[in-house]
Amino acid sequence: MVNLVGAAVVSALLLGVLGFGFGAIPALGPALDPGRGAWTSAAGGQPVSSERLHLQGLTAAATVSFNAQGLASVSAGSTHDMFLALGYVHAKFRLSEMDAERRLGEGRLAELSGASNLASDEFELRLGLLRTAQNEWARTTGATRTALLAYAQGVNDDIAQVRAAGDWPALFSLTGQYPRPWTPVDSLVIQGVLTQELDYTTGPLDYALLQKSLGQPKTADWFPTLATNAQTPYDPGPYVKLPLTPVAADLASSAPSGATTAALAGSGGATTRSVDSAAVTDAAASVLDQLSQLLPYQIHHFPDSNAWAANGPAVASGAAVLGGDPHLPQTLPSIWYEVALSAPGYQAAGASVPGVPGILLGHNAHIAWSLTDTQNSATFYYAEKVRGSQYYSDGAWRPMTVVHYEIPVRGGATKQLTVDITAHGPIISQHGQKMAVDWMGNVPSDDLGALLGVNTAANFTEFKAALASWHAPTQNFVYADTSGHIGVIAPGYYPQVPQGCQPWLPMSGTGACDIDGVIPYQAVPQAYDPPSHLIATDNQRPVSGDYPYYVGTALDFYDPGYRAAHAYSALQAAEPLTPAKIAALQNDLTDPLAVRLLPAVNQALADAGLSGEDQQAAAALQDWNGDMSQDSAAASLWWTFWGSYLNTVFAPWWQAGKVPVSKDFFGLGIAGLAPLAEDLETWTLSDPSNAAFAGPKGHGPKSAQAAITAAFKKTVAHLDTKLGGAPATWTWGKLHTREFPSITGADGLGYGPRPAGGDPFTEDAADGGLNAETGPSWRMIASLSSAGVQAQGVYPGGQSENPASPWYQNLIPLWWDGKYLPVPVPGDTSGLTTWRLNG
Amino acid sequence: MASPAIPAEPTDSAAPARRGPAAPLTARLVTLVEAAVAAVVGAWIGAWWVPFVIGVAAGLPRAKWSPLSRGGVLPAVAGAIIGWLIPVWVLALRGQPAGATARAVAGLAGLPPYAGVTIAVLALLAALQVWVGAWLARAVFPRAGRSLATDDLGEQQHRKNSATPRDPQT
Repeated sequence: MVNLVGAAVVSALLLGVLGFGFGAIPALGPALDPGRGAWTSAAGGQPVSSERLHLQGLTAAATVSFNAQGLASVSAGSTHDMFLALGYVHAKFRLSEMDAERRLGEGRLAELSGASNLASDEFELRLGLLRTAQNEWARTTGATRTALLAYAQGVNDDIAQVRAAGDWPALFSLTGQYPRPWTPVDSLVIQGVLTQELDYTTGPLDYALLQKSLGQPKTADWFPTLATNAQTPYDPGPYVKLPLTPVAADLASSAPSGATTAALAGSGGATTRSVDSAAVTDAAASVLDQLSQLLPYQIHHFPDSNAWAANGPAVASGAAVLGGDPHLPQTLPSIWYEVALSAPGYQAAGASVPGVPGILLGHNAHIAWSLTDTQNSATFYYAEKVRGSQYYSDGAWRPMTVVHYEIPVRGGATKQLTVDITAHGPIISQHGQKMAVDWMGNVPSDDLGALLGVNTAANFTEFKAALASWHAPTQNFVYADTSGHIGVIAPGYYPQVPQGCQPWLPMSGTGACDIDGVIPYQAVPQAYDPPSHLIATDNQRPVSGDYPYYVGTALDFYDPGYRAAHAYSALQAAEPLTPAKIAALQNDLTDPLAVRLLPAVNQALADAGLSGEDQQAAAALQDWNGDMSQDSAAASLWWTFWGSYLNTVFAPWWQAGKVPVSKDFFGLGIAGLAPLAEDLETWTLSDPSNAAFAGPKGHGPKSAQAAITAAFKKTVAHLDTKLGGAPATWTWGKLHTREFPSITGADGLGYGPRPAGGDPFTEDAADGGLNAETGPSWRMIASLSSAGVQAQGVYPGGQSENPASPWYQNLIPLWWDGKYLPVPVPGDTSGLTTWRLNG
Repeated sequence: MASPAIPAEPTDSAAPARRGPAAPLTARLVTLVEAAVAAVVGAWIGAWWVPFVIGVAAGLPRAKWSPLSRGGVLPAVAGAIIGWLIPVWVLALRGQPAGATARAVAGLAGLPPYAGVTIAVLALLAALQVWVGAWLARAVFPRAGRSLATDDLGEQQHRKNSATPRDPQT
């Protein structure tokens, strides 16, 4: 009997677990079924072959041509069919990625991967990407609506084909979670995810904690509005002060501000700008705790993109040249899909985003463009006075909008979530003081309409007009055209608050510091045909201190300006510019900060009377030019020294003030704070006796020279312990690597880690630590002349997301070696392989 | 005094797990082939639980209506494993990247990203199903039920056991 019961129970358990899964364990029976399970994804790993395909919704024949590297060219008889074919192609090669991205934005990751992603889902549903996307879709009309519908049809055509054939990408088979039909809202959610990754920041929360730890005077001194070091804004002025533009009504992620609770109106106290700072810092810490549980890169950390343009005498031949390399998390698959699009009235090529129709960075027959993040302050936090389901604002108690969500959790119970929304936005804190976030990414933005306008623009006037409806994320759109003009404009919402409010800190939610408008489009940072014939945007503060509007403090992730200054000087030195010279600069590994500081550092070390290994190591820096190549021992010494120098000066202050670095490593840690680098650079060069060197108790090194010597000795000791041998053998590649991880997080499906050069300050940036995972995600160079646009590009990855495909990571070697491929030409159907699509 | 035949013969009261006499090689081969065919067909129609059914059939008392039972469980296990590997092999023969897919599946499943790991898991799942299925069958139909068997070996065994006094005193 025992045997029978045992056999029955084990059989039931085995079949149950295999058939339905258990907890996070997927249903392995159907998942690994060798005839129908994940094995069928091998079909998507086969080299693409020429074939005829039937697509529902096509109104006429279309073609998709692939070259040997998998770069695609879509040609159709109408923009409707072109976007439909693009949706189909994106889904054919990136369906898992697209589904994962929309799940991320729509708060449905836990359904796929279990409770480990519940924090992400809760955050996203609170923040409201889905609400915003639904709001945007309700307002979308005309060509943008047509494009989104056609694109969704193309994605769904692929889903239907895959469903019929059963050859799902392995991720779906393994999890048993198959994609639901694609909708235009999904595309807008992915647009929102990108906006969030580029634009959502925690600056005010970090500032509040720094101020609590270090005190107001020191925080204001070390984290000023304007960086202390020399900067090179691309828009140096003169500026005009125009009246603010009202922010478009946000009906989805903020409550209507007009409704009040009449009986209680006016009974909540005065409208005030002051907040309870202790309660606010506690709430800030609580929110940062919550954000620390998110996936990497869900909020913005690293400012590392480049985009340059040159014209006139600055270029060797032709009319203009443009180079662009946005620095983003480098993943497999990449965020980009390279494609050329052709239809009557529409010819564009470059980098597209799977899930979204159009070309985000690229060129058409007349112009080329690339983007860098503007980094302005677009995330404001408000401490709300709350009573039950009401909040106090403008002298009255008002009802919060309440939204309920159900979050399915794989292997667990469905989670209920309630989101309270005030006029500022969703309540984002979970404990203590209620904190709402007013984020410009929650304001409906016709980014796609703007992008499609850019794709078809023929001159700067049309380019600029198209971008007027772009609200978030604020981006520096760098431009060049075949007539030899260059320009840049940074469209987007730059929120402004009344005089006396402090937007770099959480503000009072009672109404006194509400956003009262944004910088008018005519006055946003911009430049056109500058006398220098050069434009360089490298995430530096785009305007000078004379700019009459608030665009954020030095803490707001603006780059310290090293790359921008280096780009301007290197481009000028290399004139007349050619595409090859642009390529050389995109792959440049010079650390401009090292170049600036080396004379002072070497002098300090020479005066310090070093001996033995310290002396040998110092000698390696003497003739070094700042090149962070992987075979450079000086590069190891420099970067380790720089970290040690920062710590020598600032760590005593951080320890004394008990700065809660664990709450936000990138926003509170010494190594991640750009203003500290700017401060230390300035003090080293022009204020070597700054009081900061002495430390909080006066026992510190007291001068830059002493701090440099102490930091250098620590550096040598550290490297000796870590690497051993002589200093000449301490090459950078032994310490520093690059890795392109799989977006699934699966070991073995990424690339690297591999020894690599670069650091966060080099043009070929490597950010995210000693194993860098952020850097140039796409490199493009466009040469423009009256004959047209010649473009070349490359990204570290491949066109297919299927690890078994020959196009999974085939472009990485080219990227790694600094090589480029011609960007596919719109309308060119002469590729090795062609799909002929019919309706 | 006990008959010398008594200790040499298995008894009907043997536990279900106790083995009967070894099946002839032909029967084992037939079982292996039949199990492989069943597993392949099952895999191709999405019936991932077919190895369990194979196990049940192999664990039943030897009966003409259960041909798999004549060859024993081990050949059924081997057949099911082979049957599950054949579709993967066919994928490779068709030029599809079966090895790379196996590696990707291992990685996505959180296992060491080697093709062999997925293949091993595949074989293990097939074998486990067969074994558990056979166990269930033998638990439901213990060897005592073999007296009802109509196949040659079972019948012969039944007669031998019936003719042998289990207790000399009876």
